[in-house]
Amino acid sequence: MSNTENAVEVSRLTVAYNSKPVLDNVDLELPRGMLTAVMGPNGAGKTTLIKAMLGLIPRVEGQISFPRIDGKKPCIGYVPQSESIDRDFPVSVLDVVTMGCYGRIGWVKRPTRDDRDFAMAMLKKTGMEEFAKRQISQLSGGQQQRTFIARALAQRADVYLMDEPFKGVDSDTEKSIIALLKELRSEGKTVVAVHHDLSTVSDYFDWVTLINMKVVANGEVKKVFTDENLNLTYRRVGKAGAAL
Amino acid sequence: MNILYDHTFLTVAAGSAALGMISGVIGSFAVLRKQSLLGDGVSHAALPGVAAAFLITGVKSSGILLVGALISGLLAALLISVIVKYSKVKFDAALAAVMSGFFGLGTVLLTCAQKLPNAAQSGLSTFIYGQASAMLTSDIVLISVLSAVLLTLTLLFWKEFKLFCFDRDFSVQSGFSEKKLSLLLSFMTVITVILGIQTVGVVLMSAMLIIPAAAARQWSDRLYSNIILAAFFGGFSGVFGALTSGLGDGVPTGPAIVITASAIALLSLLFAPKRGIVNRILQRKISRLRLTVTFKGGNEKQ
Ligand SMILES: Nc1ncnc2c1ncn2[C@@H]1O[C@H](COP(=O)(O)OP(=O)(O)OP(=O)(O)O)[C@@H](O)[C@H]1O
Ligand SMILES: [Mg+2]
Repeated sequence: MSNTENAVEVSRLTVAYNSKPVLDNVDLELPRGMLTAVMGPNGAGKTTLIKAMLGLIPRVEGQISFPRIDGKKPCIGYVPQSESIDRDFPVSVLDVVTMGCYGRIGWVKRPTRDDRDFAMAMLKKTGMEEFAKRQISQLSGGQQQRTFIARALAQRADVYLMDEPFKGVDSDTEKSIIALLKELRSEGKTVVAVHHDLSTVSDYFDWVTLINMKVVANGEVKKVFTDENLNLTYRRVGKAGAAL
Repeated sequence: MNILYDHTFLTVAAGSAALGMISGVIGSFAVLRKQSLLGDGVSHAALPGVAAAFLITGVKSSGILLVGALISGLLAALLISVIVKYSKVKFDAALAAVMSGFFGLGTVLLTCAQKLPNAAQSGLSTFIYGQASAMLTSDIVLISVLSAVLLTLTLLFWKEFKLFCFDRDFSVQSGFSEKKLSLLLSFMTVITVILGIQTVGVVLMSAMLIIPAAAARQWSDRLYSNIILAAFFGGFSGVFGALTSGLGDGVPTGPAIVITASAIALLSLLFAPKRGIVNRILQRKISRLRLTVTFKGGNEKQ
C-alpha cells in the first residue's frame, strides 16, 4: 500500500454536453489504497467525472488511465447514481447483484452456482440477504442503494468508483457501509466516492477532491479540506462548514 | 373440425404461431429497452422496399419482396440514427418523420406497382394489413429457420441482453460493448418485423412486438417467465387470429391477430395477480376495511 502509486490518473480531461464544457481541463491523480471523497455542489460535474473515468461518456479531450497493479490491469467496480436505473425492470435483488459477476464471466457464458453464492454473500455483507428474492422496485431507496453497493462488491474490483453511495440511507446503514469501505481499504483496495456531507468527510475519508468544473483542490483531507477551499468550491462568500 | 386437417390451415397456423412466439420474445427486449417504437418505424418503412422490389424485378416471390423490405427497413433505421446523432431532433420525432415519409413513398410505389399487369394476383396490398392465408410452405420454413436463429441468439446472449436492457452504463462498464449489443438487438427486431409483415401487415406488425410483451409484464417480475409468457401470448394470438381471419370472410389477418393479443392484454391489465387493476382495487378496499376494524377495536395492536 504505497501512497506514491496512483489508482487513477486523469490528464487534461474536458467533457462537454451540447458543446458546453462541464469539466474543463481536469488533471487529477487519486492514490491507491485510500478512501477518496469527490465533493462539489450539484451540477459541479462529479457524476460526469466518474462516468468519463469509466469511459461511459465521450470526452472532448484528455486521457484516463488506471495504472497496472502488479503488472495486471486493475478491475474497476461501479455504483451508479441511483436515479439512472430502471427500477421497474423484471429482475430480483439477487439477479442484480449477480450482474456484478458478469464482467468476470465474459461474453456468452452463464453465471454459475458459485457466482450466485458469491452474490448472496455480498448481499449478506450489505445486510440485504432477506430481500434476495424481491423485485427491485419493491425496495426502499436505501435498500436499493445497498443492492447496488453489493453488486459493485460482487465485481471483486481493485478500484471502486461510487456515485453517492450514501444517498438515501439512514445513519446506521451509512455506518455499516463505511465499515465495508474501510474493510476494502484494509485489503488494499481503492474507493472513490462522491460525497455530499461535509461533516463526515474527516471521519470517513483519507483523501478529498473538491471540484466545480475544475479541480479546486486534491489532496489529503487534513491538508486540503479547508474553509478556504470549500468556499472556492461551493462559491460561497460567507462562512464555510455549514451543511449544504 | 375439418379445418384442422386442411393443409393450408395447418401451414398458416404453424407459421403464425412461430411468428407470434418470436415476436413476443424479441418484442419483450424492445419494450424493456424502451425502444418499442423502433419496430413500428421499421415495419412502416419496409413498404417502399416491398413495392420497389416488385417494380424492379417484376417477380412476386416473397423472398425477393422481403429482401426489399429488409433493405428499406434497415435504411430507415440507419437514417433515424443518423438524424438523432447529427441534429437536435430527438429519437421519437426522427422516427415519426422517417416512418411516415417511407410509408408515404411506399403507398405511392404500391399504386404504381398495382398498375402492372401481373400485380393483380401478386397480392402486394396484403402487405399493408397482412394475409396469413397467402403463406406458403416455403414461408413457414423461412419463418421457422429464422425464428430458431433468433431464439438461439437470445439464449446465447441472454445475460448480456438482460444487463444491457436493465442498466446500460453498468453493462458497458462490465466490458460489453454498447455498439455490439444495441446493433444486435436492433437487427433482431428488424428481422422479426420483416418476417411478420407479410402475415400481419406493415401497419400492425409493431403491435405484435409490443402487446404480448406488455401483457406478459403484468404477470411476472422475472425476465425469464416474462419472456416465456410473451412468447406464449404471441403464439396464441397468432394462431387464433389466423384461424378467425381464415374463417371470417375477408377479415385481414393482421387486425385479427392484433385484436386477439389486445384482448389478452386487456384481461392481463384487469385481472393479473398483484399488478392487475381489479386486484389493486380489492387490496385497497381490504386494507381500508382492516384499518377501520383496527380503529374500532381500539389501538391495542399498535
Ligand atoms: N446528459 C446531459 N446532457 C446535458 N447536460 C448534462 C447532462 N448530464 C449532466 N449535464 C449537466 O452537466 C453538469 C454536471 O452534471 P453532473 O451530473 O456531472 O453533476 P453532479 O456534480 O453529479 O451533480 P449532483 O450532485 O446533482 O449529482 C450539470 O450542469 C448538468 O446540468
Ligand atoms: Mg451526480
